[in-house]
Amino acid sequence: MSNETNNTENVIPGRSQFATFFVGEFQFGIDILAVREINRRLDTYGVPGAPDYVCGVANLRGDVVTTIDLAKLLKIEGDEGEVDHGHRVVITQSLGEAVGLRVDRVGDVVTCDASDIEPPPPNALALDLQVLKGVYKSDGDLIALLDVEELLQLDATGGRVVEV
Amino acid sequence: MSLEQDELLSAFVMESSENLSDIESDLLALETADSDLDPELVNRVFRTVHSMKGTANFIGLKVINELAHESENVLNLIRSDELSPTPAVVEALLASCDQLKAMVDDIENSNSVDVSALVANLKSCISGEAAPGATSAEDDEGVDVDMPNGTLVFLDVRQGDITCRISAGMNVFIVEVDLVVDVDEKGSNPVEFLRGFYKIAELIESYVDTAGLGELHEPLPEGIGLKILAGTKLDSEGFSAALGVPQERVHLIGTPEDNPWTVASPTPAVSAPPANSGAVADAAPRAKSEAASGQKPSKAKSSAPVRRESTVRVNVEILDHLMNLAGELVLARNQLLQMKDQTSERDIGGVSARVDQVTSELQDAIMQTRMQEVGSVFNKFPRVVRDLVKKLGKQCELEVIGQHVELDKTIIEAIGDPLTHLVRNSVDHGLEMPDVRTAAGKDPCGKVCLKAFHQGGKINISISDDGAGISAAKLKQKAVSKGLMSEEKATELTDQEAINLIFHPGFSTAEQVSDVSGRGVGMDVVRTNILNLGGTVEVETELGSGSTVLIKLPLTLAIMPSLIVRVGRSSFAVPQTNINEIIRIMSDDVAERIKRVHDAEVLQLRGELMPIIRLSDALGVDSFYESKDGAEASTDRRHDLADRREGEEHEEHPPREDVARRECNTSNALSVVIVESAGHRYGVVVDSVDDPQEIVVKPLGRHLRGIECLAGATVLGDGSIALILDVTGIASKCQLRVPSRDTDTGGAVSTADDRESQSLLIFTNHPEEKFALPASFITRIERVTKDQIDSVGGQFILQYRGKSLPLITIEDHISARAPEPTDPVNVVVFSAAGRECGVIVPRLVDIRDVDAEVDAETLKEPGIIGSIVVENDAIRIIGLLELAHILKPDWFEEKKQHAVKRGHDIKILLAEDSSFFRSQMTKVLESEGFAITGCEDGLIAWNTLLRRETEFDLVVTDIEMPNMNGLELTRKIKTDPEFKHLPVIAVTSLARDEDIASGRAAGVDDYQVKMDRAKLIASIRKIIGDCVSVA
Amino acid sequence: MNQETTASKECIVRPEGPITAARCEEFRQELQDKVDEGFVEIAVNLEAVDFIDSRGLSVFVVCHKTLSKKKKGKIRVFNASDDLKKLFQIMSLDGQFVVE
Repeated sequence: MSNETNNTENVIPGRSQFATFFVGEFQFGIDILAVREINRRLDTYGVPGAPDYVCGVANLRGDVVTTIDLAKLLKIEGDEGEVDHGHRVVITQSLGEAVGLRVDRVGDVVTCDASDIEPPPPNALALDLQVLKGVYKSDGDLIALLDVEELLQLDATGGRVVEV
Repeated sequence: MSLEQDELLSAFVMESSENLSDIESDLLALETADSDLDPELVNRVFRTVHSMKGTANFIGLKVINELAHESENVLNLIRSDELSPTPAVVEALLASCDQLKAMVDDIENSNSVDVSALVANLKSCISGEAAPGATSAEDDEGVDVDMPNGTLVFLDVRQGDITCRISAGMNVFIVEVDLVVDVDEKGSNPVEFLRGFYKIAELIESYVDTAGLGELHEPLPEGIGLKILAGTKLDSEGFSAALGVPQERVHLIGTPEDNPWTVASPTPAVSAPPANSGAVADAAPRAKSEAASGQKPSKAKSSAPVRRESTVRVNVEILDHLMNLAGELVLARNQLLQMKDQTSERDIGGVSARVDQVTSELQDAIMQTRMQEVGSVFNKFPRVVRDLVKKLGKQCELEVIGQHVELDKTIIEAIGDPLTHLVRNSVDHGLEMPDVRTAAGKDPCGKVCLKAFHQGGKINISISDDGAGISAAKLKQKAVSKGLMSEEKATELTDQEAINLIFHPGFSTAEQVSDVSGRGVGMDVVRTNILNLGGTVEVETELGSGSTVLIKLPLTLAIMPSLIVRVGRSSFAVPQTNINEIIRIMSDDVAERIKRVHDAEVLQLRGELMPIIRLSDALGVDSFYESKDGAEASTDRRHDLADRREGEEHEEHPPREDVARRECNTSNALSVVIVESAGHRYGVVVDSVDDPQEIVVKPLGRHLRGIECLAGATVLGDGSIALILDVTGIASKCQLRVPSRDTDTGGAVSTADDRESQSLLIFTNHPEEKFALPASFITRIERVTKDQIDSVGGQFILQYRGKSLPLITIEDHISARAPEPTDPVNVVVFSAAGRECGVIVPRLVDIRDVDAEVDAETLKEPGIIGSIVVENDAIRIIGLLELAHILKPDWFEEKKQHAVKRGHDIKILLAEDSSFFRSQMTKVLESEGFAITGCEDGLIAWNTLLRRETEFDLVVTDIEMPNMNGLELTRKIKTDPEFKHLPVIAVTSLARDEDIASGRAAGVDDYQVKMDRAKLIASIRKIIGDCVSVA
Repeated sequence: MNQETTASKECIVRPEGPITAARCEEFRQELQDKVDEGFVEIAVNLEAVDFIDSRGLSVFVVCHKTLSKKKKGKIRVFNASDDLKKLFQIMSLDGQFVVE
């Protein structure tokens, strides 16, 4: 496809497994290798002065782990109505640090070939294209595949140095 | 090898590595020692080398033995004073030390290393040959010199000519300069070029290459190729730039770093000379080629695997502790096993708690074993700087502070490279060449300071230099020219934003990327490395003065004593080092001890007014807690206050109703933690205070690192998380009194205000007129009802606690409009001439630090000391003592009489440059009955003394003054036979330990902090009293 | 430029003024003339020359090349100022360029 150009580097070679989860009406997937634990429920403690997309910190067996509200980070409407039922946290590992992603619910682990992954449609979800690696269609569902490293760089104070 | 030998070998490797790094620092010290050489230093090095030699011999490490033996000989002669440790000798020893290190690192191959050159060099030191180098026969040999691509350029160059330059620390280059293209066409000429050349380099050989040129009858050639073999201290870029020859034609073929004793290059450059060329020494061709090939770099630092385990040194006490804990755990586990059969819930609870606790303690103790002193990283820098400085032709002194600060081992290991880059940066880009420095009025020897210290709950490492600083303007230009941003964007950047551009990948700040600091190791890599460690890095700079890079690292895995406090449902940890005291104020006392002045609250503590903050307000967001089962996310708002303040600073001023309501509602007991950091104290109001605890510090993730008030987090015993407070950060966020720059960052750039800041209580008498009282004068603030005030003989008196307190109404004494009477009435109580007095302040506005300059001229009248402009309002500062004097002159008379000593007034010489403070102090001291002579500078004070018109009893001096500062004045006084008996009291706002120490060193008798009147007066009396009794 | 001749195979040339790009063609021609006349040794008296630029130098260089091809051919300079002396020394044309 002619619009494949700028996303080819983001396409994952070979066969991969993705852990998927739901935020709002969307289903996302991230490389299983970046996931430390899934389906985890954690007590979260608020951190005053934290960016608005940070829920707080949680105790993961002695480690203090930042928990990020994915809906807020990606600027999607989460399932507000289901607040009381308890969210789940997907613990990811990136740059030597564990970071938790708070999602509405957890989906299945999906295995697919690189050839099944398509480049994302332009302006999909108005997301930074570096975060969105591609999309995968499975049984009529569209799973948006995210790059964990880029995701965690979004707006993080350690990330982009100079806005050019 | 047998198992024993294996162990012996490992032990030798480990021990020798340590010893060798000690030797290196000792040798460096030896070099700079000169006449005051510590004999023990030499002995130490000698003993170490001697024992190394012995063990090496025993194990069969022949080459190490040989080199150590020769080194030992040299050292022996030094310690018996038969040989002087000249730079050449030390250089030889250092080179040997390096080689020994390399051999120890690659112990298996050590026996095949050729150390003949080093040995020869050491021998030559003993035999007294001037230039270190190969033996003279070798020196005279002729060698061919190729370019890196193998092209033969110079035939039969005398080897000694090359090696002597290399051992003098120079690089050797082949330069291909075209006299027409590179010289004439650039506006110069050959003679000029030569002159310039000789300024920066030495010419070993040269010639004009006639190949390819035409003959006389042909048109003249377009270019003349001159080939030069040169030795210079500059590096490729520098040399190329200085000569004006493009770098492609400047070829580095020899440098001291490769191997000091050969002309080394990537491809073998040294070969036996062809048979038919010129004068050569008599050695047979075979021997020559052997010698030549033997001198190829032995590459001792090759990639052969280093067989050394990663080890850690652990304090034996910690190990004992670990053993004990392990023992406890065993006992507890046994108990549990026993209980397995007997299911008694109560017992299990107790034992499991015990197991839990011991496990935690065990974990903490193990983590402690990983702590290492940062000195282990710092200690390589003296050598790095020394070598770098030599190479660049600069002068630099390295100061290292804080070697004993401890960091986790992983951080220690990771911090080495970034620090090396930063230190090299400072020397390379930061410091100017000595002549440039001298021209700028600086000491030609630059200073680089590497410092580690604890602050704000983090480990700080700063690298600062007093060099040229970084130009924001240049960086902006660079960014635009590199296409990183548009010109408009660049002009919009603040200076600090521009400075931070150096962290942008691919950004080089030097005109030519100097390979001294290393390509590919940019500041962006440094920053990433530090971020990955959980730290932050910032740069501060001042053009012309220097720069400081400040790294903050979390105390990962560190155990820190702290106090746990609670606010709402959240817990916070306050580092013990920051805690002064803890106060509990009973509900009845709250109204009296805590005063509200607009937005600020102050606590009256032992005669002092201290600012306090409520932790919930300071942090901005109230505690949020969501439990795992999705129970209601509760935002714990403080229900007892109408205050809706939510986010940042006190931008919204709550209406007065809230103020009143808040005051009425402070009816609960309060816990206040008095904290201190960076020299300032304030109180933190919390809901409750728990027991002190030793906590394990965990860093906050990168998304949370930038939060000013927090320094980390910890997991409490119950599994909940407590955030660790950054006391300095909170003070700064709440705009409490904070020094303008923490001058602990290694002595670099300070843009601190020279104006002294004053704490003022601001109030209005009549709505549009604002006045201020110096807060330091205020003893307390009372709120009384109208009926407590009587009018007696035209004067207001307050009946208060069984005493009558005379009251001053401002409008009676100075030009001010009468206020609307209020009820209740605010009274500021102060003391004058030893008695108490009150002044009515109708409406309190604020208590704040103001560092504007006090105008002591305009708006002056009796009772007004001066005025100040704050936010476009002119505020008059009231002279309380003056007013008291007007009201009760008899008090002051009595005081004066008490101040007489031996029949005459006590005369004090006061040196203070701020006219405001000088007049204040004069009034204060005069009110106590002393006679004051004020001088606005140390020099004037000294001259006053010299004039001998008055016989002074005491000198009170400020420290920071132009012309002659307080310390110099003190020294002059104390070393002068006529004046040395004069007691000197230094009164200043600088109150750090170092300042006090300097003061005492200068001879100051007492050191007082500014405007603590009572203490100053007490001190004066004591000193005068002492003098009286002595006399 | 005046010249002197001696009764040997060496001739002496005494240029005056700076030998620069603008004027070196004249000098070259003069040397060429000498070669054409059959001289193989040329001595250049530099007492009246205070400045030589790269082009000027190139004349000496090519002259040297030409002469060295002939048997015993050489060019030498004398009475050179210190600066010019150094310059010629570093040009060390095959070690046969003599400077006095």
